[in-house]
Amino acid sequence: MATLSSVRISFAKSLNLMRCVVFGSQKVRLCHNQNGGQDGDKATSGNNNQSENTSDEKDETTYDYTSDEGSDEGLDDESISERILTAALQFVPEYGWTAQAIVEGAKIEGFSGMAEGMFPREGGDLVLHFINMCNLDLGDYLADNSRTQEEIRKTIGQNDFIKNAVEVRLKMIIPYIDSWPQAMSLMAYPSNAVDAFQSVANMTDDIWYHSNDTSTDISWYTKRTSLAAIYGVTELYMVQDKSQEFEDTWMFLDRRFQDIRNTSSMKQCCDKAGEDIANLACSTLTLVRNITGFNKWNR
Amino acid sequence: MAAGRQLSKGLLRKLQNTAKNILFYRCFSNINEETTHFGYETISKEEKSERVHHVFHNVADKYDLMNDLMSGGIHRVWKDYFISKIHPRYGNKLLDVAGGTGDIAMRYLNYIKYERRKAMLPENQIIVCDVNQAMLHVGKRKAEHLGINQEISWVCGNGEDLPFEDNSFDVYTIAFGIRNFTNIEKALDEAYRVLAPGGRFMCLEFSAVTNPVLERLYDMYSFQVIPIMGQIIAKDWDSYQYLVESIRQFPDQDEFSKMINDSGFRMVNYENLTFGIAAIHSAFKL
Amino acid sequence: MAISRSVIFQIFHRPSAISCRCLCTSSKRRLSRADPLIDKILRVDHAGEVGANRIYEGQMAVLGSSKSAPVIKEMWEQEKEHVKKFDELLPKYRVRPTALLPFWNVAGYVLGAGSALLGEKAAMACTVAVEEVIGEHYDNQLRELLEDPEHLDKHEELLDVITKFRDDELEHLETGLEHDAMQAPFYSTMKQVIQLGCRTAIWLAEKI
Repeated sequence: MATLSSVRISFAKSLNLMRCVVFGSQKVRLCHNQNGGQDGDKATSGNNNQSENTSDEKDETTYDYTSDEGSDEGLDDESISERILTAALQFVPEYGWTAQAIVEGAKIEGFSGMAEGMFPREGGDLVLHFINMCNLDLGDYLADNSRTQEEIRKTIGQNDFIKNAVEVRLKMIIPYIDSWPQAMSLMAYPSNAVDAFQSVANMTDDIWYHSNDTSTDISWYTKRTSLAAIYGVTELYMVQDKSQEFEDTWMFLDRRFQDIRNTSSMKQCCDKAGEDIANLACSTLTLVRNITGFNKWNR
Repeated sequence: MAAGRQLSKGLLRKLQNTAKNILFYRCFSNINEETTHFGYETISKEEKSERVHHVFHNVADKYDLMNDLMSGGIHRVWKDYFISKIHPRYGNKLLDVAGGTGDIAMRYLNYIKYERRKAMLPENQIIVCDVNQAMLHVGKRKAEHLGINQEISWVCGNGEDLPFEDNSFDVYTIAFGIRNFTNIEKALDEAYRVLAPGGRFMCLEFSAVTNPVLERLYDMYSFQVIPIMGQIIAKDWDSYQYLVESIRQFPDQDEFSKMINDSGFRMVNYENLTFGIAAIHSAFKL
Repeated sequence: MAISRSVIFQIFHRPSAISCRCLCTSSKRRLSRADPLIDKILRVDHAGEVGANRIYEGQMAVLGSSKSAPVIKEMWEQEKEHVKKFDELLPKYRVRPTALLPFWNVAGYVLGAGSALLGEKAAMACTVAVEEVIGEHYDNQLRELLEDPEHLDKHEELLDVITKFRDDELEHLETGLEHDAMQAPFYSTMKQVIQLGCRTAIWLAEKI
């Protein structure tokens, strides 16, 4: 009896090993239409012929299976999946950011629960959809109050504008605050992290752009990363915040912006120091030139 | 001694025939509307379904054993993975076409049972449909043996003309079956018809190996080993000869994806298993 | 074991079809960003002008009191104008500046000062080498922009700016040649090395 069970165990082990071999080396290839990204960008000004041509050319490797002729209802895959995910959001408080929520969403939209299989990252896709929706909403809001317009620039300072934008964005997750820690952990998965990073980058870029930021040097990057950092820590703080209407969170946010002001004056000091060093280097160069006699050479 | 010589002579003749068939196929492979492939042979359409029926009638009893031996057990891993890709969920109706011996249906059932920790399922949730009564018998016997006969319904029907209502299933699976249909397009159209909106089409099928070196090895194994194995174990050379030839005849991953898309399915994609020896095709009816 | 495998699989399995659609969301509501061509062109041009500006700055630091100072000064002023123009255009088209900007700052200055240390003629040779590559590069960009005639009206501003700047750069090239660039020590070797560096820099700035 004992030998039998040991044989069974070793068989199970070898089967698992085999699985690793089988799936470790498999090639995953999605031949699904990936034009969403590439063509959409190419054809921003909506030249249909052109986008068709480009898709034909690159289809040597991936065939475009989702041509528009196949869609009877006139809805493309993208808008259907968006509809399902949007519907799924109302089930998040009940089921969390899970496949089950997507199943319920699909049912509401009149699809079989099996449509959940359209989202291989399950909860991750749901969270990303939500984040992108929020970012677009924020983009619309910012565009309405954009400081790129002269008259608005007079009334609101840049710092206040950015702080307000972060606050608006953070308020969007209040309805899902109970399940938000789960969403944040989903976004930390390697499979989702790239997209999550991209959406944060888009958001911070939107905010800085509409705050009338015109930097074209390395501060373009530092500004966006520090804003992303502020957003990140405030989000973390907010998740644990138990105060009335998240008062503590907004105070926390205030303090972070205070910090920024302090560091920016520090930055000015650094810039000044940098200039001094450059001058010093210049004069050293002249000195070296004089010593080596290059000056004479030139004349 | 004499019997042994007889057998080896028989084997030799079969090998020669095969070589001839391959040559013939390469030279004259134009197929018109009335005819279709049966392995490397070109035959009329009625004859194909008859002969496929015959093949599976012959191998039904040894089907599962042969699968294990030929694939070295990997087909089990493929099927398990296939099921995990489906995300079986309580309350979804499954139609397993060409699922004679119930491999897929039973795995699906086990998956749900494991998830729900519930012994019983409502009836008519899982339907196995096969055109071949002999295969269904084997499946039924297996299910009875495992005590899950009530949960799986067994229906004898043709995949190209399914005896079910429109929009009545959530998942349509077909594992190593669609290759044998006379008219694959028709089978896909039927799949599209019986699936409910949002339903998923999942197909596990042999496909084209992508690596040229492996392809040589795989071809050698298929043509030199499998028919002999079939002769020794299932006492049937021709059926297994047909098996390997039909795999070569089946459209490759991209071509088949195109066919699925042409039937109206959306979000078609595929995933290669073990270097493309098999592939999972997935699509949705939206 | 099986569960851990499935977890690992889920984590590392990144299906591209869905990720694409999530990123670009619907066509109706899309993030407003510059299209890739403009993005690439403006970023690399900005980087190039910043670098050129630094080259002249470096040359002036060394040759500030020499007799060719006014010539260099004049060219530098024009480069400053160019940088200013791109500083305006970048935020306007929402183009990200290149991340290697601090590096170009240093590299440009070192190149300028280094060539000037070898003498006025060498400085002119450096100018010739750099301006030749930049002029060529602007020409290529103009060609790229003209390649889709559908968008000509959209690219009008860029076309104007680049055409004007190209002419300026070629003028600098002429100036350099007039001031005996060809007589600089190791002229052809130096030119080739500098041009190779410039092309690498352009290639990098388009990407990063």
